[in-house]
Amino acid sequence: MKQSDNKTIRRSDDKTNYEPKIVAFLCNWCSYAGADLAGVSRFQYPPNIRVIRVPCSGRINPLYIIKALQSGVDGVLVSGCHPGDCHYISGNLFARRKFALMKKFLDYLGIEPERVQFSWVSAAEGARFAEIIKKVTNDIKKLGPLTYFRKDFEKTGKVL
Amino acid sequence: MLKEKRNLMLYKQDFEKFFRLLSETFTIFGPSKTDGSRSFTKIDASDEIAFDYENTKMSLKEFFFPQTETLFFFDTEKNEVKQTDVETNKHDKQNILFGVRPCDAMSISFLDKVFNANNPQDLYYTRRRKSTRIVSFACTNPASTCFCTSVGCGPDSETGADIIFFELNGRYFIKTVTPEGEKTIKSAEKLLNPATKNDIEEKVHLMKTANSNLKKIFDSGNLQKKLDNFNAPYWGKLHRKCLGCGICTYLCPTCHCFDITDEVIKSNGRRIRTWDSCMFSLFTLHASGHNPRPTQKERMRQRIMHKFNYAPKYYGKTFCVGCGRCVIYCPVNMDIRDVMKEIMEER
Amino acid sequence: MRQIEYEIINTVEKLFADKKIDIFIGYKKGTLSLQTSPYFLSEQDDVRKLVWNSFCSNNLAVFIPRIIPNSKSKESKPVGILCKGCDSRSLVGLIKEKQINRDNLFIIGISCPGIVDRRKILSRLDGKEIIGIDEDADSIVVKLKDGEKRFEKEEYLCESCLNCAHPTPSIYDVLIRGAVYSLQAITPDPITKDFSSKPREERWKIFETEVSKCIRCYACRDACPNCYCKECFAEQTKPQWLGVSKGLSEVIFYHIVRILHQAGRCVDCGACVRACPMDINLRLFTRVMVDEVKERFGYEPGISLKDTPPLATFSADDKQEFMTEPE
Ligand code: SF4
Ligand code: SF4
Ligand code: SF4
Ligand code: SF4
Ligand code: SF4
Ligand code: FES
Repeated sequence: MKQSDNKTIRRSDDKTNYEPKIVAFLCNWCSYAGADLAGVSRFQYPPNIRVIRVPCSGRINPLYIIKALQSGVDGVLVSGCHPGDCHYISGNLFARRKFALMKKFLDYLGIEPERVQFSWVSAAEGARFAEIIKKVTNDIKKLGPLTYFRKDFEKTGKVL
Repeated sequence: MLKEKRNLMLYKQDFEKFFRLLSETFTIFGPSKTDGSRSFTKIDASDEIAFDYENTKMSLKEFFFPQTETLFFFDTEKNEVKQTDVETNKHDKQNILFGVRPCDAMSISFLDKVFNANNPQDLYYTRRRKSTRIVSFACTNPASTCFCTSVGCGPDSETGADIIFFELNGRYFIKTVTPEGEKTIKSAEKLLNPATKNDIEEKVHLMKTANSNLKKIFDSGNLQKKLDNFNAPYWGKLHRKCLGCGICTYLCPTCHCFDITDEVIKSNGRRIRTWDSCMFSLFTLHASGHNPRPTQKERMRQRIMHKFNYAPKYYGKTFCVGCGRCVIYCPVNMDIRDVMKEIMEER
Repeated sequence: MRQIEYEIINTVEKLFADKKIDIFIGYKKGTLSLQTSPYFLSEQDDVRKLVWNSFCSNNLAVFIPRIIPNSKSKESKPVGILCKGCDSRSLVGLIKEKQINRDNLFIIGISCPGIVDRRKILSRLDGKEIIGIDEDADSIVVKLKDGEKRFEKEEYLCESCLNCAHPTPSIYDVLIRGAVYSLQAITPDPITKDFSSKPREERWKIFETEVSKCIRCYACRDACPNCYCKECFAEQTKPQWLGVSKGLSEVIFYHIVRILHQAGRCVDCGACVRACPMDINLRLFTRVMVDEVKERFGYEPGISLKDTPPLATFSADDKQEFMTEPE
């Protein structure tokens, strides 16, 4: 999928010292362990992610991702076991289909593709985990905060 | 009520001036050409008004009873409650709703009975209502879906309006209905002349034609009695094609059911009142899981009964003004006129 | 048209006479011009009220899970239903997802010449009152107080009919053949293709403007046969996903998730579009998923009872070009 081109007008100007908030849904058996390994091995990665542990990437409902974006995060990463390695054998393969459609749809609507990312990270890939977090954080830093459908009270209701 | 209603005339070429004079004191809302008269919007110049519109898609009720109303804000950390602008009365603009259809004006008089009664009185509704004048426009060309005369309203009904306009040849016939109406046109008094006998005749004739274009489909008085049979067999059939979408109630100018919930983002919260609809399956769902109106049958019955049986008993009025919105927009063409006819024909 | 109407009426009459069905769902004349209304009839009702014309727009499949709530049950008699191409595709989806039992249906299929979009016609009438409608094979004649207006059907079809690949029902017990337009279905749909080529910001702006009209009546969901959930995410309270206000953020959330839920299910029948009272161009957003599902997984919803729905299966070599790799 084409990542959003540089020509895109920035949707936010406030990017000085901007630290994005990113939610990472990590599967318990691989990516979460990978994150753990990254920590134990002291690989440096940006502190912008908030980890939510899930049993399997197949557990992710696109609803969770949209809800996270609506609730104030600037980006979402979902990470699970490499194809073939899923603890539940095929959870990630089902997930891959959902992710593909979701990625396409959000892009189509005009949401930058970097906002929602998917990756495979095994329990042994601490370094890879750190690299992916770096990439995701950088991508979203470049985009600035996601404000265009965040829920806030001011935008709602019509007062006469 | 006004002791003496005045009949005044305004030349169409003076309308622009008239509008400007009024807009010095009031913010004017009307059916605007720009949004295809979807709802009443703010009008800045007289030529933005779509005079020839049929009914707006959204009814007037959203002005006084918006789909989402913040009742108050709160902060769970500071343990604080903040009032809204309506509560603190900071919204003290005076508004005119201009070009209102007589059925919509009447619907507001019904909502008044619900929200603007003595006890209880709804603060939000009443504050908005108090600061708003209703200038209605008699219908000379009713739509095919209008059936106001069947439910005690009509193309020249004054109920609910402060002033009513009739469009005559080259001029407007203006009738003041309430003291507020009188006050509203004060600043433009110099543009207005008393109506002559000819003017009155022309107006009467005009409305006769409009009235004759509206067929009386049923008699809402008899209907009420008929509906006293709560377990009539037709209830088992009428609802079958209904999807339960609630369009009919959301667009209806007299439907006024709501729900109150809290919304919290971190420590900031607000209590909101939002539209609800008896056509929704969740409407009467209890926390226990029990639902006294378990199927669309009971919901459909509730909608019809509330309008044509309970409301007449409680408020003395049929809560339908015949605007035809539910007829036009129902996705399965559930035509309330047909439903009424079917009920009336039932032995 | 008339001929087909007769055939429908005769078939239904016979079904009742042979005691094959107790109830039939078809269309009857609407109370508004350019519209019909779903018609539930049992033996004692008038079969001759059944109609078939270019305005039979409701997707009748939506009623089936409502009147036969239990997919496992085997009813004593099947429910009779009139199905256009898309209605039957919706039924296939419902059968495959175990919402209904094929044995509980008696389907009169009808090869569909396309449904005329009443809004397109109305927009050409400048609010003039319609006195009568005439229809022949290729056109609709609208009679007005001051004359007539002729509309070529092909230009006034619903968007989804203009690009319908399967106008003939995919399942049926009896098929009534009629003329179908020999339309060349195109994927991706020209409308989505055009939308995709717009700059990102503009796409979002269009989406936002469209859905900002939404009053959250959920008619789009209620009119959709494939939105059958007993408890929709939009109304769930434990946990509550969606706030109840009319705020833009909630509306955007609702539409994104509803359309994603229909990915792989949506048969592009256009029922949601026609149901929306606010004239929101929902198809601009639903159709893209139909195309994507076809392109990626080679799947077209509602065509066969055999193949597995795309999101209920996988292939080891599904494309994964969108996955993030470290730089
Ligand atoms: S608009 Fe029609 S389908 Fe929707 S709830 Fe009302 S009667 Fe039922
Ligand atoms: S019930 Fe229908 S016709 Fe009557 S006031 Fe409500 S929307 Fe108008
Ligand atoms: S039918 Fe239209 S207005 Fe109603 S919820 Fe769907 S998009 Fe919104
Ligand atoms: S989402 Fe709309 S077009 Fe798709 S199947 Fe449902 S009603 Fe039909
Ligand atoms: S929107 Fe989703 S949850 Fe709601 S009824 Fe449709 S498929 Fe079910
Ligand atoms: S267990 Fe890791 S993706 Fe399924």
